[in-house]
Amino acid sequence: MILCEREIQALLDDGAVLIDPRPGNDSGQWSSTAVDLTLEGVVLEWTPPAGGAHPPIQLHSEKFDIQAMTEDAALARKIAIDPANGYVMSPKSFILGFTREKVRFPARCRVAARVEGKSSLARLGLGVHVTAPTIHAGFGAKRATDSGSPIQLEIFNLGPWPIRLDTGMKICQLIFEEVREVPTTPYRGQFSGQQAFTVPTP
Amino acid sequence: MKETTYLPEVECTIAIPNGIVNMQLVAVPDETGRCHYLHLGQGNLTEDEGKTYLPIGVIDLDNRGQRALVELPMEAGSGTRRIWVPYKRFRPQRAAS
Repeated sequence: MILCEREIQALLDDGAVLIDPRPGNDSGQWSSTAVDLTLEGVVLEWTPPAGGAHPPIQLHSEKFDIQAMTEDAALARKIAIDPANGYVMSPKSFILGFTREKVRFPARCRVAARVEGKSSLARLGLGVHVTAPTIHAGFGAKRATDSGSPIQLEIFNLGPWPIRLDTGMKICQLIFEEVREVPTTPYRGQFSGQQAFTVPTP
Repeated sequence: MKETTYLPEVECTIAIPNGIVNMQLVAVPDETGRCHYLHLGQGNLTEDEGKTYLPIGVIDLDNRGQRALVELPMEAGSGTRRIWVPYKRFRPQRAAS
């Protein structure tokens, strides 16, 4: 069941879900069943292979590590978005971006979410995820002290025009859904912060 | 009065070891002896000296009643999420040998 904005705000009030910084009620980021998130000031471009030739990426290889690829300067370039001129996305291009807000979904909160694009951007051909929209229960909460994680966005421009992206612009929306049960998968870590306790016994 | 240290795990029994989609049906008795049943994936329970224990969250301690209020990892088939469990049904912490 999709949650309405009052239910999402109640989750935030209770600390059951964290969005940091939390969008203010008058920020213009709330709609009836979603909250908009904004773009962080860094994007990541994949570097085209020199000469146009690159061996195929072996997805099933033990050496395949997408996180390592994003950190490899030969394959990817981090670009700070220019505060004055923004970052201009060329037609038919693809970058990775991040939300400025960090998000945390403890497994026990029984809430998951989906990242969706914004229709105004979609009409220009701008998408924000590539078939990976789900923020699972447990996201950003591997440890009880985790303050959350930004959501990584797979941003593409399918339209015919260059599109300027600016830090802080509303880039995507989060739609919250109730999870019927506490998931089994992260279950072992669910009470991992619990300590032994000592009590008087007769 | 002596003191005893317990781990946040309560004694349970496996009612059905390989149920639907390889899930276990686990029975956890409360202080009255009534069992609450949970469907759990394999590998979530601990064996210790012939007993089986379920990790739980400790919510409150009642030393006078020698019991603890615990939160189950998921809602039981009874609809219950929290139950009172006597201290003696917790897994005792043993000194390293």
